[in-house]
This record gives sequence, structure tokens and C-alpha cells, in this order.
Amino acid sequence: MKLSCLQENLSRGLGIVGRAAAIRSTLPITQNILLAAEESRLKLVATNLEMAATCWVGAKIEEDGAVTIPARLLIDFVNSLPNELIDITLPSNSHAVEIKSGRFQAHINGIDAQDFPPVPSVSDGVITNVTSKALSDGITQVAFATATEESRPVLTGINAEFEGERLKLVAADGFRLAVHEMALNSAVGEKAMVIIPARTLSELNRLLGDQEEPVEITINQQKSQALFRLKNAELVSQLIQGSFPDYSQVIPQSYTTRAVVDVNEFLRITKMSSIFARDASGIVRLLITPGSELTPGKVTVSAQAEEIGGNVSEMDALVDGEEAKIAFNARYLSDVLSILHQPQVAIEVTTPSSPGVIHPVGVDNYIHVIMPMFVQW
Amino acid sequence: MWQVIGQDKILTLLDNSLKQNSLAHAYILLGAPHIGKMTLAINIAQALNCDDTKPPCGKCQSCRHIATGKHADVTCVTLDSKLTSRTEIGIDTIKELQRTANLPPYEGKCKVLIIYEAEYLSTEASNRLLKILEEPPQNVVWLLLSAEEPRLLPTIISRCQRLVLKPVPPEQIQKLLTDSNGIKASKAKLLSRLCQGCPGWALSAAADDDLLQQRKKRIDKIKSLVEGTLTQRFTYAQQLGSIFSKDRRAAMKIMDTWLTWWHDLMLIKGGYEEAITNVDYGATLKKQAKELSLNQIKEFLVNLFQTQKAISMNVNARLALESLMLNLPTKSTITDKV
Repeated sequence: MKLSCLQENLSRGLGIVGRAAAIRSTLPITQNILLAAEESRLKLVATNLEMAATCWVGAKIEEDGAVTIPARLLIDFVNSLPNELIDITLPSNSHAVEIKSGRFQAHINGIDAQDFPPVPSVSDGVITNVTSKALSDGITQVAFATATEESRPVLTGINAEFEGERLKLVAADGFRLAVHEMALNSAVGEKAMVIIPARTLSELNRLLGDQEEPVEITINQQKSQALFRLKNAELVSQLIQGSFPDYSQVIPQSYTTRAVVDVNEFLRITKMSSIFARDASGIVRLLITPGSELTPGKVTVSAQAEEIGGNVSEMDALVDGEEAKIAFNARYLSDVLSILHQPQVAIEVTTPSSPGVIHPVGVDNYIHVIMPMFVQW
Repeated sequence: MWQVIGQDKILTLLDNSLKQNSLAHAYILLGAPHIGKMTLAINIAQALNCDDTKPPCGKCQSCRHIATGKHADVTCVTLDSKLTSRTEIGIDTIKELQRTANLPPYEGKCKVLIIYEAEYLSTEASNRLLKILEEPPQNVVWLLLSAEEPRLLPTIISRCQRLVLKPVPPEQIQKLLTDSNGIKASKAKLLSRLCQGCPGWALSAAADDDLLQQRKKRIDKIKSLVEGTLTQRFTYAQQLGSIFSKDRRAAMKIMDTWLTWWHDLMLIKGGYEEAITNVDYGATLKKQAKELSLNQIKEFLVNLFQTQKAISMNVNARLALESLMLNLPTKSTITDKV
């Protein structure tokens, strides 16, 4: 293998695939990045057997070939080189790569490319594409609600429902539920429901940051792998096997009290109360009082910690319905409030023991449900 | 072609399950160290991922990758692997496996997760494992390998199919050594006896003369101690005691050599010379057997067993071994009884 490319391009490519390389693994070669010279491009591949990222970098290829080299080492070395032309040479019958740039050079021992786990090919099945901005927003608005604990594996992923021209992303961890709906650029032939690992989607979200073109999504027939095709990169993800719990029953169909408040104000006073809630299992109490003819409605947020103290904050609200009380975990509230773009949000509650709903005002594609905490009022 | 030898019953069972596609989701492979548990586990993994019509073929790409530990869907965790601490297989390792188990196979047809020396699973890790064994995801086969079944949680055992590997007859091992590995008949005979039905040991001893050298050193010591003075015996007890505190397994291996030696003495005394393990020491054994009574041999064997059990249960190793040495028949008692 013999090729040369610009440090800037190589570094960008490595940045795209680098995070997909395994950090520790029983299969050591997954900690390596595959470099393959093919058709005037350099292909970079990394996988942790959960996702596989492939990226192509423009390069001048003099001789074809492939090798794998330790990801961390390669990335750190390339990033410390100046932005100049880099020559990469792999002598035949050897796995030691020589990297040379101006007055700097290094050789790195690699492993045979033959042993690198092949990237699963995802071709037929459900194919569609979606605007990268919309997908990115969707992932941001649901990913934080996935479970981090492995005891219920399906909850560590995001449930993606493709139907017609709509894509619904759902995440839940047993205490909260986030549902985001977006439009697809092209309708899918058949309805498909898959669970994509949250880690992969967060990685995809990172890659979506610098791209404006739509993303092509393909899900294979066995529903075992999904492919996301970006401008210069491809991300293949393994899909979590199992069925996502039926969440539709969790979403309350009606409410007795609805309060519309300013998102930033709400976030500020929730965070304020969370300081006190730290020592009280994270509990913050919400009291929603309807307004009368002269006074506006208000929402009171308070936290009480035994022996330490407590705080009470108030904000104006447009209240519809009767007075209501409900208690939430402060973190769950601030998590959802901090990802909303809309200026106003509606809280809908019924009783202190039934779930509360958070709805951004002005859009109807996002709904967030939080289970209440049981407290003595 | 299965590479495991002498386990025909298990192989028939597996062959039939493979044909009917009715393999269990989890197996426990039990048997003494080096008996072929890992070989069988690798074979099962190959069989499940093989592209050939008669799995495991051992030749296709999947089979070759699995054999060399390069297959993405076959994961093996051991006590020494990077993911575990040195003393036990912890809960984090199992969590990692659980995550892997819930993803579909990456390049093959079936994920195979092998836990080597499963007796080293910590209690939390075992309990974590129970949950996955209870609700097994599709296309995943668990293989738990263990030499010490009593140390596994009964709840784990009850959720897996037990495959007990039997010691392989010496003739089969001898044949394996001479035919497939080109080892001289005399050496093959000795190894096939010494390995006590564990082909793995015979193969590694054939490749590594060091193992045989070590054994020779041990045997010479054991042989000489019967004639040795009390001081020599106590020095030996102290040495063995310190080996035990550093490396339990090495000490247990020495105890096992003791057992084979005295077992041989008993066999000779009982007139069944053909079955002895230490064939290369036949003459010495015969001479010693002549000087001892059957009762003495029996009593010392019982003593050996008890000491082995006692030190495995953490009594003071040096004290137990000193007491053992005191019970070792001495020259004087030998002449008394003759």
C-alpha cells in the first residue's frame, strides 16, 4: 500500500470513525482502524461490533492495499502533525505502516486487514431518507431519556417507527418517556419498528452536526442492522433485538389542569430548587394555582430537605383548570426543559399520582411524560 | 469434524440437536482441567457458525477465525482476560456480555459467549447472568466451562444443560499422540497415563518438556521422602506450604502427584500393575510397595485426601502438611511391619 493525503483530510476522517473503535474489547483488532486504499480514495473503517463507521478520504493512491493500526495511536499521531501532505506506506509482506510528513515520521505496527471483522452489508429492506437537521433534533430530544442500566436491554435503545412519511422516535427508562415525530422525505413501503442503540444514535447525531444533505436510512429485511448514509461516511448499527414496551397507554389522554409557562424561567427555577432537592431524593414539588379575575395564574416550585432547609419559587402561568399539585424528580424536569427550542411549554397534570405531560407550545411533534414522585403534601 | 476425542455420547447429542436445530440456549461443560472443554466449546461455536453442510468443517473462513479467536461473534471471557479482575469474574464483565447478547450476530449466524472457569464468577455476576439465562435472546448460545461444579450457583446449573466430559481412555490419547502428533510410542504411552484422561495435558506436555521435567523433580522428591529424615520432611512441608501461599494451583498439582504415586503403590500391592500411572518409575514403585503394607498405603492415601481437602478449605497449609509428613510411613515403621 502506498498513498499520500492531506493531514487535514485524514484527521477529519479519523475524527469521524475514531469514536466507533472499541476502547476495550475481547477482540483486540476492534481497537484498530482499518486503512484501505481503493480507487483513488482512502477508506477508513472502525467498529466496536455494535456500530461500524466507514469514511472515505480523498488521497493519491500509488499502490492498493489494506492494514489495520491501533486507533488511539494513529489518531493522536496524525492530530499532532502539521497540515501538510502525509505519505503512508505499507511494505509488502509487512504489517508495519510508515507514516511520513515533511520532517516527521513514524512507523506503527498493525494487524493483518484480513482479520478485521467485515462491515455488515445492509442493502434491501426499508429505505428512506430524512433531513439531517430534523433527525438531529429528534435524537437530541429523545436520547437522554433512554435507560443506562442494562437490566432491560430494549430500553437502552431508541425505538424508531417508520410508517408512511413519518418517523417516530421513542425513548423511555421506566420513569419518563419521550416521543418525537418527524417527516420523512420519502415514504417507506412497509411499516417498520426497530430499536437502535442510543450510543449509535448519539454518535450519528455528532456526525450530523457538519452536514446539510439528507441522510439515507436503510434497515435490512431481518431487522438486525441499520445503515445511515451520510455525505462522506456510513454508519452501520446493530439493532437491539426484542420488542419495545407498548408506551401508548402511558401517555395520558386528558388533563384536569394545564399550565403554560416560559421554558427558560421554568428551567431556571427548577435548577434552583434542585440545589435543595439534592438532599431530598431529588424531589421538587409543583403547585399550580389558577388565576382569578385580578391575579394571573402561577406555578410554584419548591424543594424541602430535612435539616437543611428549602426554597420556594414562583412564576406566572396561563392556567387552565383547577388547582393541582404534583412532585417530580428535578433532574427529569431539567433534562427535558433544557432540550426544548420553543419559548413556551405546557405542563398537563391530573392527580398527584398520575403522570405529568410536558408539551412544547406551538409544535405537536414532541411529547414528554414524567412519572410523578409520591410525597406527603 | 469434531476435534474432541473420547466424548462420543456428548457429540452424538450435539450432532442430533444441530440437525434438528434444537440446541439449548446454554450449556455447562464440566470436566477436569485439560479434558477438552475449551476444544469442545470452540467446536460448538464453529458448528453454529459453519457454512459447510457438515458442521463443524474446520476449514471455512468462520471456522478458521473462531479457532484463532478472531471471530466477532464468539466472545470468550476468562479470569485473566483484560476485562476481569484477577480473583473473580466480576459483574461488569457480565454486563458487557449482556449488552453483546442483545445485539444480533455481527458476521456469523449465532453469537457464542464462552465463560471459561465459570466457578470464578462472583455472586453478583452469577445472579446477573441468571436473568439473561432466564430470558435468552435469540441466536445466542452460552457456554459455561467449569472444572468445579460445586462452586457454581445451583440456580445457574438448573438453567443450563449439563454436559459432563468423561476422562478419555489412555489408549485413545496414545493413539491421538502417535497418529496425529507424531510422538514416539514410549513417550506417548507415558503421557497418556500421566494425563489421567485429559488429552489437553498430554498435548501440552508433549510440546513442552518442562512439564515432564517438573513432574520428574516432584516424583524424585516424593520417592526420596519415604527414606528421608524428619528434618527433611519438615523442610519439604515448609517449602510446599510457601508454594501454596503463593500459588494455590501449583501446590495442588504437587498434591495430585502425591496421590498418583500412592495410588500406584496401592495398585501394585493389589497386583494390578498394568494400570499404574507413573509407568516410567515401575521398578522404584515395586520396590517401595514391597516394603509397605496395604494398610499403611491405604491409611496414607486417606491422609492425603484429608490434607488436600483441609488446605483447600483454608486451614493453615504448613501445619496440615507437617502433620501429613509425620504420618508418612518411615523406614523404621516399615522395617517393624515387615
